[in-house]
Amino acid sequence: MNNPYDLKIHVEKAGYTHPIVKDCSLDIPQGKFCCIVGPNGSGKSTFLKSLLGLLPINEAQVKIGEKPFFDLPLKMRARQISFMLQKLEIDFPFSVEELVSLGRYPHSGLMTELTLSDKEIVTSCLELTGTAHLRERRINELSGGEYQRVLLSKTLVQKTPILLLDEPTAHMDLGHQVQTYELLKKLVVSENKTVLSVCHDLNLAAEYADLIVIITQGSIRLSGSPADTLTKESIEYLSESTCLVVDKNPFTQNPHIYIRPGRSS
Amino acid sequence: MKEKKNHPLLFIFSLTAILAVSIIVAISTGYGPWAGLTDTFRMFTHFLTGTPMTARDNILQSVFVNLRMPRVILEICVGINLSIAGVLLQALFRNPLAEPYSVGVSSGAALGAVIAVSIGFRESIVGIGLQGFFAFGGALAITFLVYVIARQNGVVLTTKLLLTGLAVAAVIQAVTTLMLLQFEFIRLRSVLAWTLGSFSNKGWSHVITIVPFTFIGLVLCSFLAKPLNILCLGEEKAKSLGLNVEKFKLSIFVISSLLTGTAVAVSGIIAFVGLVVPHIMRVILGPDHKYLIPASALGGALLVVYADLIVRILSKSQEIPIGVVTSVFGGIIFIQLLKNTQKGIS
Repeated sequence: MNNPYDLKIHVEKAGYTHPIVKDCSLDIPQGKFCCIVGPNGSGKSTFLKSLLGLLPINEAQVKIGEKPFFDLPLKMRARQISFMLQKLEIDFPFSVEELVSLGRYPHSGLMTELTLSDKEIVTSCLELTGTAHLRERRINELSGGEYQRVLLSKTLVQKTPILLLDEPTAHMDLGHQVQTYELLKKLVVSENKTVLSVCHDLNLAAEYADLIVIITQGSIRLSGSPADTLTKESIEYLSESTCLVVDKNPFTQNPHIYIRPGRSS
Repeated sequence: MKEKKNHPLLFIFSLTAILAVSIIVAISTGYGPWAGLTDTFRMFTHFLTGTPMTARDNILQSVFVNLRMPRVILEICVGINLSIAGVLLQALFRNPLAEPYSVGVSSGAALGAVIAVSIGFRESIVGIGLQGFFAFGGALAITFLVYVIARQNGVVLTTKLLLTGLAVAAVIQAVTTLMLLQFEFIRLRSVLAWTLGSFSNKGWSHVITIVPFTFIGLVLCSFLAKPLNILCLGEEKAKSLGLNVEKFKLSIFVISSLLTGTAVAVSGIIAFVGLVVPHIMRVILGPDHKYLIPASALGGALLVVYADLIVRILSKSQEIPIGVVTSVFGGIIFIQLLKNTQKGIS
């Protein structure tokens, strides 16, 4: 594995007032779809943010290829890794098109206007997420799922080889969840991009991920292929519930989690 | 559902045209019945053609050059400074309700003015008077203090900055009130008049004080539009898009303090301009700073010019403080806008 965008991650300590994530090492080869799963509050978002150096406590080494990521100036970093935050509350009523265009910032000068190719990229990314018809709308008029797809477009227009996504399908209906993962998979397969996505839907992760990373209590518990990671044993500590059983998806033979109500212990 | 979008450049151009007309109206208006619009045109033709002037013309000229012109230029500069500072701070705090006075600037300026009055009454240095000079110093000192207190491990949390501003302002106001109680009536009156803002008895020395700051502020702001948009997305998002957030925050904090500080120094405290003008422009044009900054600058200038015009028309024996007019004027426009737009402001 010697691709220019292979990711090597080591997070020593990361958090806000005290370390939430400790001692996590992870290698992700270029062109892999990696899903990060784990219970609420286990440090998944903190882990993602620490890769970009966004936290007050942020002792981490990240290498892209063999080059240390944090040695790059900020704008260059934003051309390598894009990031979709879990909750992005914006108090100013930008239009969808204005908001998505802001994603071109790392590729533009301070005074220059958006070029024609910038505008084409914005349009094509809006089309990819099926939000082109919303372009004139104000972002405070959108539904939760629509807004989420707009934010994904904004991440895509950054045109980075590596994408970090924190629950990209939150608030989306099932159809759009699947469409979003289909889209991401396509980017991974046909454009050789690397996707790291925090995901709560284990079945989505099982179907689309090449690599699943399970984080509990701030450290990586297990990582590997869906078949190796989504097992009877791991589901127990992931969910702390006995209502979930692992079996296989009859169509794809990937692991599939079923709900059997009323078996709480 | 779909909002009809106003063409931003056309709108900005119209504001410029309205401002140009308003300047002519403003310099043709003063106390008493004379030196009106016809005299303005007379002076203008004199200036262009060089026809000989009568004795009355000479007095007129002196009125225009030494009283009216500097007053209108001052109004424009103060309006620009306050409204641009408002735009900057609203983006910094990601809060449409922030304004130059919410970070302690006005309380610092008031304290400075009160100290000036208590040590030497109505003495003049650097052209703007001891009061103005101390007010400027007080504004900057308190802003700096707020920033230092809010800073922790090299990071300034924005909410902490806002709350620190409010807390420091409360303490400073208490100190100011205590000092005011020691004053005799005439000094008290002088301070009170100042805290409500005024453009009377101002001349070219005041203009020279503020114009460089207004000019530099406008130039800098034309470079800031893009990063300001990015900052509106939140600090984490802004950093992940490649903006050096801490450095940028400090620079817009410094710029907005200088803009407010100089405005306060020349005209006293004029409320509401920094809050209401960016708001109105955001409702009309949307939040893109590329248009918001020039439109707010023009809007701020217009609001202050007309507010002072009303002051001059209504004032008989005693001048009404301009701060009262901007509040009433701006407030009514603002309420009207809020009623007309259901979703324009979040």
